[in-house]
Amino acid sequence: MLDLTALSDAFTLLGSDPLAWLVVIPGLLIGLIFGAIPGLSISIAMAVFLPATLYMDFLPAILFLTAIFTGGGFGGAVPAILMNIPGTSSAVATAFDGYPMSQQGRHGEALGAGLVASAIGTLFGYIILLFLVSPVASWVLQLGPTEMLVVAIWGLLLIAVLNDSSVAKGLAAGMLGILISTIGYSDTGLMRGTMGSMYLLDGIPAIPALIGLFAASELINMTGRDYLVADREMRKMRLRPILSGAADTLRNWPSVLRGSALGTLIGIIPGVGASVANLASYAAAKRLSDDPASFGRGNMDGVVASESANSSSEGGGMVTLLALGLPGGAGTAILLGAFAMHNVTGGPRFISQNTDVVYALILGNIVQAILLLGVGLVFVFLASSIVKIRLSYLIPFVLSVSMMGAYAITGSMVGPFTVAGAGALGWVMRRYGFPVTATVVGLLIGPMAEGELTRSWQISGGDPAFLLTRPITLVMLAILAVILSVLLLSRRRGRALSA
Amino acid sequence: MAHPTDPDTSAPRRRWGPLVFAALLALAMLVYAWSVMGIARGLTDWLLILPVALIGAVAALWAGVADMKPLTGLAKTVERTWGEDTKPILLLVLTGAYACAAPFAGFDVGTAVFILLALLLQGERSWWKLALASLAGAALMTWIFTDLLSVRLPTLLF
Repeated sequence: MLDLTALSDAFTLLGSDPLAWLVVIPGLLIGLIFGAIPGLSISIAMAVFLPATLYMDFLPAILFLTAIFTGGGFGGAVPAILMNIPGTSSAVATAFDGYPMSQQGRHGEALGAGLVASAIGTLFGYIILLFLVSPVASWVLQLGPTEMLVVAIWGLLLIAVLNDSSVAKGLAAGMLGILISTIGYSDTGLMRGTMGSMYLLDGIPAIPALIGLFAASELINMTGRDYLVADREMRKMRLRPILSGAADTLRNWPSVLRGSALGTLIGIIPGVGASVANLASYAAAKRLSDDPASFGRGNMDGVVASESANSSSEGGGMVTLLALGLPGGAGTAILLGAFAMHNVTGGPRFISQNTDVVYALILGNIVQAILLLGVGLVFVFLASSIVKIRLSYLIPFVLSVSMMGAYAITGSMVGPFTVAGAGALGWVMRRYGFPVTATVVGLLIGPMAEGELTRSWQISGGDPAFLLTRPITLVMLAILAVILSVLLLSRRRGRALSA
Repeated sequence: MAHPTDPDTSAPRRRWGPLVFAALLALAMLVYAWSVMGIARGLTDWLLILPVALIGAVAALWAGVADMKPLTGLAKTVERTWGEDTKPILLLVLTGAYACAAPFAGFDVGTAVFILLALLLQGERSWWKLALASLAGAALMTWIFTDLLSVRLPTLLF
C-alpha cells in the first residue's frame, strides 16, 4: 500500500528544493483572498497564477497551485459565514448555519470552527490519498453513468432534506434550478431557451446565478437594517471566540472525521467534487443529529460538516487526477494544465514511475494543511471586522464587487445581468417562502444529471432491465430509497407532533 | 367606530400573491419544456427537461394553492407588507439599471452612480460621505479589478 523507499525519496526531494516551501504561504494567502471575494473563485486564482509557474520546477509549481487550492477551500467560507455569500460553490452549505451564527454574534466561533474543520479535512483527504492513490485507481474505473446518475438523484434528494418550507416548494425550486442549468447549447448540439441571444449560448453561468440567488437577494432583503449583527457588544472582534470555535471543533472530532471521510469519498468521483461534497455532508450531519431542527438556525455542526467535506474533497480529487489523469473539477483541471505545461501526464504509469514525486506532492499538501491553521487564523481575525460596517454601505459595495466579479468570470455582461436577474428572482422566491438553496442545488447538479441520464439511456437502449446488471447502482438506489422513506416518515411525524 | 388600536377583526383574506407567483413559475417551466420539445431532434434532447418541468409545475401549483390559505397567529403578525418592501424593490430596480448601464457608462462611472444612489435610497444625507464612498469606492474597486487582477472591465475614465 505504501512504498517506503519512495516515501524516503520524497522527503529528500522536498528537503532539497527550498522553493517548494517558499511558495506555500503566498499560495495560501492568494487562495484565501480569492476565495473570500464573492464572484472570484479558486479556479480563477489558479488560472491567473498558472503562467507564474511556467519557470518553476514541477514540484514547487504544483505545490504553489495546490496551496491556492487549499487556501481557497477555506476562503470561500469567510463571506459565507459573515454575509451569507458563499465565495465559492463549495461553501454553499457553510452559509446555512454560518450566517445565522453571525447574526447571533457568533461569527468568531463559526470562523474558528470552519478554519479547523477545513484544515483537518484537507489533512485527512491527503493522508487518505497517501494510502489509497494506487488501489483506488482501479475502483473508480468501475463507476459508470448509471452510478453517476444515482449520485445526481442523491443531490436532488438533498433538496427535500435542506428545505425548511414545504416539500412542494423545495421540489418546484429545485426543478427550476435544473431547468435553468439546461439553457444554452446541449451536449447534443441543440440550442435551448436562448431566445436567439448569442450571450446565452453557453447557458446561464452558474456562479453569477449563485451570487444573485444567494447574495444579491439577501443583501436587498437587508435594506433598512443597520448592521449584520444587531447587538453592538457582539460586533467586537476578539480572538477568544475564534479559538473557542476551533477548540469546540476539535472536541467534536467524530463530526469532523465523518465530514472529511464523506468529502474524500465524493471527491474521488470525477466531476462531482467539493460543490456536492459540502451539501452531501451537511445533509448527512443534519440527518444524524439529535436536534435536526437546529440546523439552519446556527448549529456549529453544520459549518463543521460542510467545511471538513469541501476541504477533504481536494485530496479525493487528487486521487483521480494522479491515478487516472482525470480532473474531478475546475481546480484539478487547472492542475492538469500545469501537469501538461511541465510535460507530465497523470495516470497509473505516472504513479509507478514517479512514486517519489507523487508522495512529495502529498506530503507537501499535508504541511500546507497545517500551515493553513496559522495563516487562516490571521486572515479570519482581519476579515471578521466586516460586521462593524454599516449595512447601508456594505450592501452597495458588495453588490458592486459581485457585479465586477461576475463580469470577470464570464468576460461579458452576461455575468452582471445574471446577478441582477437571479437577485430579483431570489428576492421574490424568498418573499413567498420558496427555498433559493434548492434552486442553487438544482443549478449545480443539473448538467451532471442530464449528461449521465443521456449516457445511461444510450448505453441501456432505454431498457430498465439494464440496471439489474449494475450491482453498485442497485445498492446505491436501495440506500437512497431507505433514506427517502426515513426522511418522509420523520417529516410526517414532525408535522403530526406540531399539529 | 373602530379604534386604531382595536385587534384586527376583519375577515381573513385569501393570499393571491403566492398563487400568482407559483402560476407564473409553473407557466415558465412548461413553456420552456414546450419550446424544447418543439425543436428537439430526438428523445435525449428532452429526456430530462420534460419530466423535470412537469414535476416542477405541479409542485409549484400545489405550493401556490396551499399558500392561499389566510395567515393566522404569528405568521400573520410577521408578514411583510408591500409598503415595507418599497426600499428593497427600488434597490432591485437600481441594481438592474446598474447592470444595464455598465456597458455604456463603464464600471467606474456606473459603480460610482450606483453607490451614490443606493446610499441616498438608504437614508445617507451627508454629502462628503456620499462623495467619498461613491468616488473613492468606485475608483478603488475598478483599480483592483483592472490593474491588480487584470480583468478587462468596460470603463469610461480608467
